[in-house]
Amino acid sequence: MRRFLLSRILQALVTLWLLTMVAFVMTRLTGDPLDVLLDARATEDDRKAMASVLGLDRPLPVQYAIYLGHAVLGNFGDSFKTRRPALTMVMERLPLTLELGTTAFLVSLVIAVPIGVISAVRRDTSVDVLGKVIALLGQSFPTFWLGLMLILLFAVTLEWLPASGAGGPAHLVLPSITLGWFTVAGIMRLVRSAMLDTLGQEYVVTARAKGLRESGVVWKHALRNALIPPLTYAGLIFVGLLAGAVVTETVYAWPGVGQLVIESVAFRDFPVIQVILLLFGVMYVGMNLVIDLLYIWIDPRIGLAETTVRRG
Amino acid sequence: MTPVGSRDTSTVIAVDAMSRSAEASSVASGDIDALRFLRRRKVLVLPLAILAAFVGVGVLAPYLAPQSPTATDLGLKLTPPAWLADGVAERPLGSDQLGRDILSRIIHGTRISLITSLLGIVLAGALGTALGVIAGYCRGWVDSLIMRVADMTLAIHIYILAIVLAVVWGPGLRNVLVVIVFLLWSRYARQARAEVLVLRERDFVTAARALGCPGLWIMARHLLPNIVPSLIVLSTLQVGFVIVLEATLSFLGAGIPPPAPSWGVMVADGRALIASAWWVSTLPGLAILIVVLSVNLVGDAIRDLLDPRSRKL
Amino acid sequence: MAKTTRHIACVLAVMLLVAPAAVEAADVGGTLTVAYATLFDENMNPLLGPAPSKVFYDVMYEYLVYNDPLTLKAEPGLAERWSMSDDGKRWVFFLRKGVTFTDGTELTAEDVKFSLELLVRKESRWPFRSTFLRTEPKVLDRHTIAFDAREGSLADLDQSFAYFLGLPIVSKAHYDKVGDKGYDERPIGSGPYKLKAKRAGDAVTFEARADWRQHWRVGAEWARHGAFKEIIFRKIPEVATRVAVLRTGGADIAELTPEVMREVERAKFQIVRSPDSYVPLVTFHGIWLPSKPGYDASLPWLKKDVRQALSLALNRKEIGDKFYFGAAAPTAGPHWFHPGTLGWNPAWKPDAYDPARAKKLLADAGYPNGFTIPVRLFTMPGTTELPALGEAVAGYWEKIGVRADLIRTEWVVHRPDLVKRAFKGATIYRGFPQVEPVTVWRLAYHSKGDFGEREDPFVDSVLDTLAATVNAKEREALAKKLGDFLVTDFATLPMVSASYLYGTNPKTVKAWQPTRGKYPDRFEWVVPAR
Repeated sequence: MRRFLLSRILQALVTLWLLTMVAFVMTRLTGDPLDVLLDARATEDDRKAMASVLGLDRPLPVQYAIYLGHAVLGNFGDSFKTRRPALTMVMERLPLTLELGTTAFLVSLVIAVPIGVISAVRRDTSVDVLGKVIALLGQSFPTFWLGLMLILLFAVTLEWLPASGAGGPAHLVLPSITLGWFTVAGIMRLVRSAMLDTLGQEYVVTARAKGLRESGVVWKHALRNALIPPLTYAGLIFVGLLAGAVVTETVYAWPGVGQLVIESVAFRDFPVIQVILLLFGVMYVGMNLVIDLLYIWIDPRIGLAETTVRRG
Repeated sequence: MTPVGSRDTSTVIAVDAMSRSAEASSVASGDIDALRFLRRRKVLVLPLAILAAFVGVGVLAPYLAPQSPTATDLGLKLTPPAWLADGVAERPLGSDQLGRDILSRIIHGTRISLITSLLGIVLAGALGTALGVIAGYCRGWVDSLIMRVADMTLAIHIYILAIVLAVVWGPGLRNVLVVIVFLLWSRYARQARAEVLVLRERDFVTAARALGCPGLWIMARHLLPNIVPSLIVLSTLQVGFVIVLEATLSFLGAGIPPPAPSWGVMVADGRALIASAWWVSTLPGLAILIVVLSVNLVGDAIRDLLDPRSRKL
Repeated sequence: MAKTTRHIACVLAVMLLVAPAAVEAADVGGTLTVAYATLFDENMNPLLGPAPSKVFYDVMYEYLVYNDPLTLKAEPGLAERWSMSDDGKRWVFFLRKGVTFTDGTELTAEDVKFSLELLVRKESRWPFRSTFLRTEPKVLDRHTIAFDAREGSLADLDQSFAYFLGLPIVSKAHYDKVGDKGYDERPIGSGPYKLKAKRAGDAVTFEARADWRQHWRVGAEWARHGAFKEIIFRKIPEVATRVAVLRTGGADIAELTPEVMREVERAKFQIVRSPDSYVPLVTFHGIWLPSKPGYDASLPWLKKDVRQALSLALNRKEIGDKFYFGAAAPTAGPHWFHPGTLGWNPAWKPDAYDPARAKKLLADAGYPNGFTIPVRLFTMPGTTELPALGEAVAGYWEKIGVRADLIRTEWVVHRPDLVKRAFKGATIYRGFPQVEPVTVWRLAYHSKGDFGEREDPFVDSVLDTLAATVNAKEREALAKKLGDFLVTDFATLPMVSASYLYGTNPKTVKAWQPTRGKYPDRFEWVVPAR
């Protein structure tokens, strides 16, 4: 168990180190930040001066070494745009994105799980189809369009909810529905599948064929099994939601990390882009590690090998 | 479709189970009675018809579209659909901000959506399947490496990648395909690997190995054909996702650039007008909705048909 | 009887005493919310970015020189008057007395000198840094500051040394106290508002200073018309959402695009324009000196007649009426020449719409079957419609046989190619009125300039002479000479004169006039509706 834990942590660290390289290369590919930071009237001397201030005049491998060295100590450099620490800039916006992502995930579960269960029980009936359609609708229009339509309907026309911005719970409703509806279909399929698995097991079918009603135990067992797949993929789904927040945050002017992605790439703000990439990497790797461990803790019979297989 | 009504649920399920077992045995013998399958699911008729129409329109687009999809005419700017007041006959579904015919653009956009999603899925599928089969068959460090790369791919923020590609290459089909492959290849790899892990222990594989067949031959000849059905299922479920993804990428400025009339570009470009000229983005949005819904319903049904796990006794 | 008269007299006396105060007791209260697409750099330290693109600077900081919002003529600001020595080696500015920062200290020449030194530091991103590096500020006395040329003369800076427009004056004492890092959290200025709060990526909030009555700039006006106690600048990137926020009362002023004008009008909100603020146009690249390495003599648009044909193919009236929803009108003049600024010739008229003549010109020039031209499309802040306009232009050119190869890109990707002379084709760009246009003329038209829109020995010589000329009349004559040449040369193709559009809520905003040409937007002058 301990060996497993150590090996997983080591793998995670290697992944993160590779991610720093990917982040470094990706940002450098976007071109010269000086063209954004400096006005068209800037002279060659202005450019040289700014390049030395930002550390961009050194050879690339040196830049990477400095970046990695500082990063290990928690210093991710200063934003080119605001000259404030890049990590601070991201961290002050992260809670808002987490708030949005978490609420969206919960909304998603609250819609998807009941639909998945009912669809499984009423398999191939019109209820099943209706449930599928509702779930699939979330993946059938682009998120930004859904967001704008919801604003038009609920904020402008009905005036029930605020049109944009982050604030109290009322501000969270439309953005979290916009963001969360997308993952409903995926979660619903997992739940439905798992329910069918359980309900299809021999002893259940036999009992029913004999005319006996399903016992509460069977139901509890089925429901618990239905929740396992969504939780297994929760890491993937949640980080996917956070990435998708880019669009939702732009539409609703929600000042989280999602909007920062767009601003920082437009500005070629290398330190900030790198921090965001690493942050997402850490979250993804971390969440998967936690879920793997949870899995083993909940059901040790499953075994370590199966954990990896289940998630792939 | 078994109607829900006064019949007791348990009886329904039991009857279902029995007929399903009959079906299962016929499938197990390698013979799928698709027609019977269809007949029992009348709800699939409409989506299938829609998909057939979608493909048809995509193939015949240049002949079907009444106007050129890119011809601008500012004089006809933002005319509503023909059935509304101020609508004109030359613009049956209305016109956009540059006066272009929306109907023609939707028709040509079918082609673009079709090509983009098929191409993207084929590329992602080919790459993912190949790597997944290799990983599952060879095991050991090759397996670990491929799975770690898959993990890393998913750890990279997809929209940062999309926007960076758009900056480096300029927006275009190439970027969209790279994003699709990036996102989807690992799903194929995982599925293929999981199936191969099971299959490789089967008699015919061990026999082939004992006979000295090279690994590649075994992978191609014996393993691949057996995993194709589940990969098809996986693919049908991605088509809708890819079409919607293209629209989101257009919104971010990382999709297929104008003047190409992709549905995604149309919805994204018209989004400021939803309150004053709704048809510009809503009609292509409706096209996306109808096609994606149909594809997903059909895909789900195919999965029900082919996936052994959902055909429990 | 006498008692009643006495009572009446008393009441009248009291009323007379109170009345003036009642008339003058205008309200400074309420909150003004302004929704913008971007807040740019969102920091309050002028060191860190070009101030003209910060939408909220002018409520907090003040400048030596201001300009009239519509005529753009220079007006006294913190400097009551200014003059240049006859040899052009020194400019002197005489500062207003009694101007205070929000911490109560007086603004003096030392603060002006300090602000300038701040802005020529290595870390500065100020666009005029290189200009100010040529000068050396000297404090002559508490309220007089001079700028001496380090070498050569400063005569090429126009009569108002307009580089002082938008140069925020910061307090030396305060900056020394808090330093670079601390300044962003606690900036102070001499303007009518002070920073109250900000949330990263979301909003910046300002509050009127308590002693506004004594403020030199706003005191009298605010007492008369009233003003807002608080101004919140919100960042809302999507225009549809900005309109929704305006309609639901979340914002009182919202930055608009032409597309949403109809919706805003139908919802009974006001449209406010900053008129004649920018000119979308076609620029050509490749018309360089033959000695330049990138020069390619075979490019069709090197021929003047071809460029004229491309201009005649554009239906400017339709562009103004249809594409800009009537918010723009056909215009003329080369890039960076605008009514009211140096070099403008009122005799210039917009080119006619004549596709038949255009086709003939093309045929005569040797292109009866047209040709293909690469066209780069990109957005600029405040003008997101340029790529769509490019598609419309492509549509017009298609009708005369010219195929536009549309390339969607970004300004920051395109600009390096301009400097390297690597791009040959056209772009859809925009110009806006410059109080001091000579610098951009150099960038756009001189063979040593960055933008390379028209290189020619004649142009070089006019610009070089202009740089050495001091006399105002002579400068105007030279500028007109340049303008006339460029216009008859079809160096660039102007289309329409467009306005920036804002939606305002008539229930909360009574009057407001933004500046022509974009910033500053003068939010300290918004009159509340009571």
